[in-house]
Amino acid sequence: MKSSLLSILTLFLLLAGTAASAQQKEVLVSGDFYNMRAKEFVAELEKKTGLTFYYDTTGFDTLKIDISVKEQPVTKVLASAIGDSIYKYTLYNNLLFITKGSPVETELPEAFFVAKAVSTDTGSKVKYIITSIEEDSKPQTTTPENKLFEVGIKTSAPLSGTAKLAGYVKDISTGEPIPGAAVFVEKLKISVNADQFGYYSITLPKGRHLINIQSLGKKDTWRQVMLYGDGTLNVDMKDHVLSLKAVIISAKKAANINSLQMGVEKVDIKTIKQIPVVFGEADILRVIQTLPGVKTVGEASTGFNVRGGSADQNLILFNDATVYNPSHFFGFFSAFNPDVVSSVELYKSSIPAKYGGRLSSVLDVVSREGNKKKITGSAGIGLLTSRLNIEGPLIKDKTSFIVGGRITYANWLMQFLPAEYKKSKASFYDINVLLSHKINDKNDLYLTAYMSNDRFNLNSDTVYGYGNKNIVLKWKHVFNNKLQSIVSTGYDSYGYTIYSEKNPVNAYDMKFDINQSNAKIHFNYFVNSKHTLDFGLSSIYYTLHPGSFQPRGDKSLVVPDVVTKEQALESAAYLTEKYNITSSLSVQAGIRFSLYNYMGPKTIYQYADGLPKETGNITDTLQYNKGKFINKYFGPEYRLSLRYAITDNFSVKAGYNSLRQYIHMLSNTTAIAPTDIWKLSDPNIKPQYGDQFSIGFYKNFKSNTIETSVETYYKRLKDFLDFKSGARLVLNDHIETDVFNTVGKAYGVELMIKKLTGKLNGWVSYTWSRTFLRMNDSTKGQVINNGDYYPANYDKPHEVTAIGNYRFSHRFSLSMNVTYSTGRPITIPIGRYYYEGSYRALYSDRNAYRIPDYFRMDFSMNLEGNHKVKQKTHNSWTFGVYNLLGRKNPYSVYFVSEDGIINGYKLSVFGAAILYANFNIRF
Amino acid sequence: MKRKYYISRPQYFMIIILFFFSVTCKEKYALPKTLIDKSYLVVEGYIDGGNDSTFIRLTRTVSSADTTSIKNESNATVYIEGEDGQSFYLNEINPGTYAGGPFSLNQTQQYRLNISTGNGKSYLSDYVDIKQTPAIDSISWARTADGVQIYANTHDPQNSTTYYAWNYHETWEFYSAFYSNWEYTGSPDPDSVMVRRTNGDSLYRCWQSNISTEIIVGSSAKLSEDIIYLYPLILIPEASWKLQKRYSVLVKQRALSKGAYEYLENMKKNSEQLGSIFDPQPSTSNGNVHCVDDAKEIVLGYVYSSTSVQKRIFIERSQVQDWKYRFSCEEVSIKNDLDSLADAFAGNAYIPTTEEGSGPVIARYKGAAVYCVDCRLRGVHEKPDFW
Repeated sequence: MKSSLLSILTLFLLLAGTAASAQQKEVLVSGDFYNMRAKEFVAELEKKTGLTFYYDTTGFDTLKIDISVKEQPVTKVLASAIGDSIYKYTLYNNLLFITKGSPVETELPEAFFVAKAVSTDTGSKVKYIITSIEEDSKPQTTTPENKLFEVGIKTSAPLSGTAKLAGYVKDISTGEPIPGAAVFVEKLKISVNADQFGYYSITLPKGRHLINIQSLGKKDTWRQVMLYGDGTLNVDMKDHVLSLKAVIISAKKAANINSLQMGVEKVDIKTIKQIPVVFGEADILRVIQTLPGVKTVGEASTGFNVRGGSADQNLILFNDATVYNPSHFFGFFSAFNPDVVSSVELYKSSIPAKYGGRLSSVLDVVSREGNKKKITGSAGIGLLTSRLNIEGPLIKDKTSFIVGGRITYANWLMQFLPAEYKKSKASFYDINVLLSHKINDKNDLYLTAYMSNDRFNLNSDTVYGYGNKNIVLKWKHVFNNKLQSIVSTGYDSYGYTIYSEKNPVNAYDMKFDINQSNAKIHFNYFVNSKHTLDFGLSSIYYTLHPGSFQPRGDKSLVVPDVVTKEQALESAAYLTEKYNITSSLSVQAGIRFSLYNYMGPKTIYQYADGLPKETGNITDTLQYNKGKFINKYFGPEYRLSLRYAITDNFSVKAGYNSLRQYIHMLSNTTAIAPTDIWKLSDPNIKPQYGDQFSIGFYKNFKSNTIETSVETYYKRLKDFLDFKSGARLVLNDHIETDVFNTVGKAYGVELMIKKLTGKLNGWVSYTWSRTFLRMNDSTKGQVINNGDYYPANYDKPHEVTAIGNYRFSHRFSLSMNVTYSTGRPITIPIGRYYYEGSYRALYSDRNAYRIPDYFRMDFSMNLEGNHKVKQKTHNSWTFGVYNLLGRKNPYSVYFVSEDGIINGYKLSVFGAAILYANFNIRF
Repeated sequence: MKRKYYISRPQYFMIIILFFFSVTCKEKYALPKTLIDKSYLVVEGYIDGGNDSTFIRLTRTVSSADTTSIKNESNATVYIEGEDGQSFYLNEINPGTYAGGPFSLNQTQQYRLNISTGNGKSYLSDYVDIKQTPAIDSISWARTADGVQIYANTHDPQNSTTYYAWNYHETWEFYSAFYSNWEYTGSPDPDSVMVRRTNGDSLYRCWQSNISTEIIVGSSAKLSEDIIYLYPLILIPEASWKLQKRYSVLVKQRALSKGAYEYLENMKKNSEQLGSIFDPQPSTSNGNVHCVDDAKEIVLGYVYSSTSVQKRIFIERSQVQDWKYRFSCEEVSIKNDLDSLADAFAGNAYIPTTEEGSGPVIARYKGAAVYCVDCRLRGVHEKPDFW
C-alpha cells in the first residue's frame, strides 16, 4: 500500500529548479458537492482549481462526499470532505497529494542520506519523499546525487569570495572511511584527496558546483552543492557492484591529471586481489612490485627497490607504524593481512614533507576501519595459511574494532624442496587489532596494534625467528573547517633470534632488535582556496641492540658477547604549502628540518685521520655516559613539486626532493633477509643523503579512460654503505671497519599505460633505470673496481610488466600477468686457481656480470556464481598457473668448488609452472 | 521471536587447493667464457716454525676457459726473511713447489716470505709471528644417519691459539669381490691357456688414499676457553667403500693467525658454502702478500707461520654398526674350450676367478669383470707402512 502510493507520488523535485518553499498561496474553492464519489469529487476539484491531484485509488473509491464550501483553501476543503485524521494533504506548486497517515515532504530532509547540509531545515518527520515525476509506476530510488545540498547560510545576496567545504567520505554499508578518495570540481580543476580518515576539505568559490567523488573500487558519485558559506558535506560511497544489465557510466577519471602529486601509485585491495599470485594469496607487496620504478631482486623476497634505492630506503608504514621487515616465510608472503588492508600508496618521487627518514620511497599501507553498524566476520582456510577476522561496533556508530589473525602450517611444503632443504621447518603468524572511536564530531581516536612472528630452520639445527611489534594511538581533532590536527604516539619494534642447541658445548642464542618510540603532531590548515598549509613536529627515539651472543643451556661454553646497545633521537619539523597559482598552475613546496642525536652510553672508536677505518688504525677509545649527546647530524630537506595543466587531459609535473636517512640496514644479501641488522648513524658512520629531480607528463585519452604517463628522474646518493669483501656484520663492535661509504647515482624513465575500465583493463609499464655506486677513496679502504662506478646489486636496466584482465561475461574473466626484466648484476669467477687441495674461483670486479634475464607469465581464470546481491552464499572459482611457461628463472647464480672443480649453479625458486585453484564462498 | 546473531555474516570461507610439481630448483650453470688478460700470482703454504720442512707453492690464476689444470710458477727465487735479516732459501723441488728446512727459526722473531719471479717482479708478505700449535686431544668419530662423522678435539691451556686449521690424509683397505686363482695366457695350447695365478693376493687386497680438498678451519674465539670440541672434519658417506674393511686417517693440525683464519674462512665461504637463499655475494679478497713494484697488483694467498701436529686413528668396519657397503659383482661361467675362453677373457675385460666343480677335469671356469677382480684398478696393492 505504502509503496504503491509512493509510486504514484513520485515526482521530480528538480523540475522546480530549486527546492520548493512552503509559502505557496493556496487556490480557494467554492461549490456544493453532494453524493459524489471521491473520484468525481477530485476530478471536479481539479477542474475548479487547475491543480493536479495524486492519490491512491484503492480504498478511496468507496468514499462518498457530501459537502458545501465557500472560498475555502483546497486543502481545507479536502480535510472537511474526507477528514484529516487518516488522510493528509500536501500542496506542491500545482500538484496536490493525498496521502494516508503522513503528509508528503516537499523537500529532502536533513540527515536522510546521512549527508548533512548545514542550512536545511530540520524537524518534520519523514515518511514520503518526492523525488521525481515519472508517470510509470516503477519505484524510483532517491539518490543524493539528485539533490541540491545547500551549504552555509542561505542568502539571496550575490555570492562572492570562497568557502570551505569539508567532511568525511565513508562507505555506505559499513560506515568505514574511504582514505584517499578524490574530491574534485572538474570545471575549476580543483581537487583534493581525502586523508587516511576519509576526511577532506576543499575550498571553492561560493556558488553552485558539481563535486565529483571517486575512489578505487567504489562507484563514482557526485554531489550538487550550492555553496553559501563554510560547511560540512559528508559523502557515502557505494561499493562498485557489477549489475547484470550493465549501464555504462563514463565518468571522467581525471585524478591523475589534476592531482599535484607525481610519482604516487595507489592500489586498492580489490585490484590486489585480482592479480595472480603464487599461492593464490592476495599479496600487497607483490602488486607493488609490478608498478613502474619498483624492482625486486627475486622471487623469495618482498624487499623492493624503488628508483635505484636499496631495500632499506623504503619507509614502510602500517597506519603510521614503521614495519621493519615486511615479509613472512622467506618472503613468499608479505606481512600485511589482505583482509584488514584498505589501500596501499607508494610515494616514489614527491614525498610529502611529513614523511622522512628514508631516501627512496614511502609505502603507506592503510587499514580498514571496523564495521560501525554490525558485527561481521570472515574466515579463510587454505593449505598454507588460515585467517580469521572479526569486526564490528563496540558502541554502535561510535566505536568499532577489527581483530584479524593469520597462521601458517607450511611444514608440509618443505618436502617439495630439494633434498638439502627437506628437513626444514617454517611457520609464521600475525595479529592485527584495530580500534576506532568517535568521541564526538570533532574528535576521533584510533588504535592500531600489529604483531608478527616467523620461525624457521633451513635443514640445520639452527632456528631463526623474527618478528615485528607495533602499536600506534592517534587522536584526530578538528578545530574547525580550516584547521585540524592529528596527534599520534607509538612504539615499533623488530627483532630476531637465532639459536642452536644440538652441540651442547656450542649451544647459543643470538639476538638483535631495534625499537623506536615516536610521537608526532600534524596540522592541516586550509587557509583559502589558493593556500593550504601542512605542518608538524615529529620525534623518534631509537634503542637498538646490535647483537648479542649468549650461551644456551648449562653445558654451553659460549662466552657471552654483547655489543652495547645504541640509542639516538631523530626529530623533525616540517611545513608544506600548497599554492594554486591559477587553476592550471599549482605548486607545493615543503621543507623538513631533521636533527639527529646519537646518544650515550656508548664506546666510540677514533681512527687515525687519512687512514682506512681498520682495527689497526684505532687511535683512541672514548666512553660516553648515559643520556650524553655524542654527536649530531642535521640539515634541511626540500620537497618541491609543480603542476601545470596544459589542457584538461594533459599536464606536466616536476619535482625536486631531498632526504636524509639516519639508519642503515646491514646486509650482505640483496634481499631483506632475516639476519639483516640495522645500524644507527654514529660518529664513524654518516647518515645517507639523497636527492632527486623528476619530471613527468600525463595525458589521458578516450574520456580519461586510458591514462598514460612518462616520468623521468635523476637521483644522487651520498654516504650509502656498501660492504668490504668478506665483511663481518654480526656481533661487530666496530661496523665501520667492515663497510665503506659510496656515492651513488640513479636515473631512469618510467612509462605507463593504464586502462581501468571496460572489458579489457589493466596496465603496461616499462622502466629503464640504472643505479651506480662508487668507492674511490683509498684513505677509506680498498677501492672497489679501481674507483670506477659499479652497478648496485639491484641495478636492472630494463623491466616490462603487463597486467591484464579480460571480462568475457560477468561470470567469467581471465587475468594475465607478464614480467620481463634484465638479470641483476653479480660478481662471477673469471678465473680459477688452486689452493688447499682444490680449485678456487677468482672473482671478477664487483657486479661486473649479470645473471640471466627474468621472464615470467602468470595466468588465472575466474568463474563466478550468479550475481544476485541477496543470496545465502556467493561462490567463485579461481584457477591459476603461476609461471605458466615453467621457465627456470634464476634467483641467483653461484659457484661451488666440488671435488676440485668449480661448478656454477643457477638457483630458481620456482622451477616449474605452479597450478593452483581457489574456491571461495562468501556468505 | 527473532533471534539475534552476533556474527551475522561470516563473509569469507575460502578453501585453497594447491598442486605443486616442484618448487625450488637448482641446475648447472656454465661459466661465462670470459678471459682475463692478467694472471695473478697465488702463494700457498706456511712457514714451518717447528721441525718440519717448509713448502711454498707458487701458481698462477688461469681463466675459466683455460683447460690448463694448474699453472705452476717456476724459476722463482723464494726465501724466508727474518726481522733480524737472516734468510732461509727454498729450492724448487717440483715445478712451482719450493721447499727447504727444517729451519731452526727463532721463535721470538717475525718472518716473511720474499719472492722474486722469473719475470723480474718482487713480492713480499707481511711479517708474521710463529704460532705454536697445541696437540690434538683426540680424533673421535660417531655413527650418524648420514654415515660416519669424524671430529677433531683439541684445546690450548694457554688460551692463545684460538684459530685452527686442519688437513687430513685418509687411507682405507679394500678387497675385490672375487679372488682370482687363474690367469688366462692366450696360448693356443689348451693345456697352458689357463695357468694357476701366483699373484692372487695382489689383485685381491688393496689400499686407496685421499687428501683433503677443502679448507677446514675452526675458531674458539667465541668461547670462554680455548677449546675445540667435536669439530666436524670428515664425513664418510653412508655405505661408502672406505669402510669395506678398515679405514685410517691422519689429521694434521696447525694454529692460524687471526688474519689467516679470516682469509681462509672467506675463501671457503666464497668457494664452498654458497648456494642458500641468504648467502652473501662472493668476492675475492687480497691476502698478505704484496707486489713490491705495483701495489695495485692482486696477489692471492695468505702466508702465516706455525708448527704442525698430527694424529692418526683407525676405524674397523666391525666397529661401525650396520655398515651397508656391498660391492655388486656377478660371476659368469665359461666352458673350458679355447674359443669360449678367448671370447670371455681375451680382451682383459673379464678375468677368470675359480674353476667350477671339483673333478680332475675342469669343465668350466668362472670369471668376473676386471673391475670386480683386480683391486689395483681402484687403488694400490702396496701396504702403507703404518698399516
